[in-house]
Amino acid sequence: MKNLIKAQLYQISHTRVYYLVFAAMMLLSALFGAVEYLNGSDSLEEWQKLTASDFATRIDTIVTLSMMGMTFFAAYFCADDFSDKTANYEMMSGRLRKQAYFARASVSIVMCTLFGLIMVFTSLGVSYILNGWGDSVPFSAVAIRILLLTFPFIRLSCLYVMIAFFIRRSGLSFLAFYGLMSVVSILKAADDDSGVLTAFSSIGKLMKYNEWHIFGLESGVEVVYTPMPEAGFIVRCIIVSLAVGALYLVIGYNFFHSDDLE
Amino acid sequence: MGKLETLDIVMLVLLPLLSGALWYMVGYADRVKNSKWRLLWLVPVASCFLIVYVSGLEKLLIPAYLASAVTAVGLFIPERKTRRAASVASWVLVLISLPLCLFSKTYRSVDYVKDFNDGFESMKAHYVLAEHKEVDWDALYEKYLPEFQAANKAHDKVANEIAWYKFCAEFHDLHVNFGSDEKTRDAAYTRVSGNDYGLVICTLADGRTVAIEADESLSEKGIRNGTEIISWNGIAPAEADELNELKQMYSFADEDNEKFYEGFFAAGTGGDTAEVVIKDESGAEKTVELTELSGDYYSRVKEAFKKIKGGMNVGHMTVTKINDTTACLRIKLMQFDSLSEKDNHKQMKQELCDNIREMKNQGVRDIIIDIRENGGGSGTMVKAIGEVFAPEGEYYYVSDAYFDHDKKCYVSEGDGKWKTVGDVTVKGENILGDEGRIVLLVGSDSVSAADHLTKLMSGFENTTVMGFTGPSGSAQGVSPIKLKSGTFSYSSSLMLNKDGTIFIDCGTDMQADDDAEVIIPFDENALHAIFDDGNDYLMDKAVEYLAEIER
Repeated sequence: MKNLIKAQLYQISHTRVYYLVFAAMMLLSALFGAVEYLNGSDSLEEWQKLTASDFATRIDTIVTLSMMGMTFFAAYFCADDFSDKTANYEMMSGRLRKQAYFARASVSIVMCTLFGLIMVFTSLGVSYILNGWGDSVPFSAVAIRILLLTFPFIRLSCLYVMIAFFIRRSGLSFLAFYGLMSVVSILKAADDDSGVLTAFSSIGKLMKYNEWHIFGLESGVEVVYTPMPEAGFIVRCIIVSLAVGALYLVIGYNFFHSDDLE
Repeated sequence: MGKLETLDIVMLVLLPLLSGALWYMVGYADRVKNSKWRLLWLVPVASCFLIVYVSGLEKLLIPAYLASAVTAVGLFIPERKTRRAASVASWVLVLISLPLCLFSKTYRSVDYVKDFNDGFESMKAHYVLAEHKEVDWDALYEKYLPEFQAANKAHDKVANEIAWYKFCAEFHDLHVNFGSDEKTRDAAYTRVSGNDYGLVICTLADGRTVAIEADESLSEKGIRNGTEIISWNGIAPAEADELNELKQMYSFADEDNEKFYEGFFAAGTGGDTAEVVIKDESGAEKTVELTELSGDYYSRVKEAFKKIKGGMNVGHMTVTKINDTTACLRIKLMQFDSLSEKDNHKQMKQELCDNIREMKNQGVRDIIIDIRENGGGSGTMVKAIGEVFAPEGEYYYVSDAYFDHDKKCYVSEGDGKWKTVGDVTVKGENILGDEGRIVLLVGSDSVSAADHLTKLMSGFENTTVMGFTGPSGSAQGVSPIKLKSGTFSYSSSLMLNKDGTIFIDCGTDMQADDDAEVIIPFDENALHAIFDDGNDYLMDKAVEYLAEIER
């Protein structure tokens, strides 16, 4: 399996379109981080500026964007080798289906998760460079929340892997993920107190800072955030994300190991 | 099926249909021998997941969720027998869920204890008057948790509402409130209010307790509005008052206001009959037995409250001419509209000034500002109104508190004082001129920004604050939080006096710092004017006061 993983990484590193998509997504991410600056934040008073710490409390747009990028990479890393029969040749040359499946799955999961995290950090970094950090929330809390995104990202990547192996067409898989994301965005989700019913609710809860408001007659309304999520939620999020991710992989493998490969 | 939510019905209908379809597909998928057909056995679990995503989890639907998961077995074990058994098992599990949802009280019920815990923890973390009022959080939690647990056990929304009202009343702060909907609120008050025997008892300024809002049917027993009530079921009305649970649900921030309403809850206590000792017209004591008219005392006491507390019944921010020299500005709420808030009420001020000038052109000299039943709103509107009516010069209003962003709290300086960050003042425009006088009519339901206006205008040389009582005495900034069973709000932003002490709100002494300068005694004249003649007694007194005042 080690060789299959190496082959996957080699293939990825020698495919120009992946670089182009990656660069485009990073540019988009940087643009989001620079929006305030481009809107003229440098001419504002210090207290009027939307600093990086403020940006961190409303970063869910970037997270959604990174999930869109993940759909592309998962679809092409997992399913592209079926159209040119690379996967078939692997098995004809004596590789097990298990190896073909888990090599692609592990590469996709790691790459997608890393991509998601890099994208979020890039956006935040650009905002920090241009607008300063501010004092809405400490950097450590923001970093922890973003790093915790690793787990729902893994869960989501596993789902993408499972669907990609069901469909085995990269374009169609990408379309299916896109459809899934659209449906989830359109439907209004019920309140999920546990925050782990779906990967989306975990991400939402990680990115939502509990807040309350204070105001004075002359000082206007100020939002005060609670930097860290609850410990119980963090534990739930990690355990459920890993367990459900594993379940997706098992279902995907179960289907793939007896699927017709034409 | 009326009780079931639409999406749950969809799930309970869809799952058996899908299971049935999969039963049929077993044979077809076998014949076709295409592995893609196996994915069909994931359709129920995917559909179920989508529905749960929108409608939320429900414990009683767990068998239905299992039913969808059971059919997924067909993906892993592609054998006829197993797949058909999975379909049958799925059917059975859905059939278990249906009666559970239909007949269990717990179906889609809110966890009232969790709601209470969420609200309590939030308030404990952010309530700005905790120190000032010496709140004992642990004692309060221990006292009220059992009430919420009982409401939760019985899945009783009304009991939950009652528990919240009683909890909120403990703070003697009219900014501590809970509310779900009007129907539940009325049901909560009605449930604990007791029986209606046809009257409400109130205490006159001279200390006598008398009947008000008396039903006509009681006149044959000698009870009318104003009839003195000596005792109610063998005890003094003030003692009977304490027996009514309804009293525990009413919050007063000021002791004087609480005292004014002493006795109001007494006439709801008792069984099928109540034994009442009254003083008849000859002055002799007489015992009469009253029979319960209905089980709803709340409606009667609400009507009595409305008559005593109610303000002039005209539109918000209208200026109405009362006589040749006096007009009334009615302010029902300290809010105008969203646009007005954005431009610091400049436009509103302009309109108000135009109306007042128009009245002055018609000979009006004095203004009565009626803020009875004003539930509060914006401090900037208070400032704008203050500026219009203040005599020339600068008047202190309030000080903003300093918030330490690192420690995420206001900064205490000890001795009940807090660090301030700046004073808010108003510059008087003296629209009435040197001759004009103002009476500010207040009541115990003049809350929040209405308290602010009272405090601000009581510092004006041309203004007299008047009422049966002072305003509510609750003046901090308030924030609401959304709970599953309703909205809970409490004081979360600190407002201070110049010396850093708490602005207006009472501490443990229950003495708020914005009393009325002229307290109109609630005597027999007031009682008959309000309850027999339907007059606005306070307004009449204000007009009288302005006519007699020395200028």
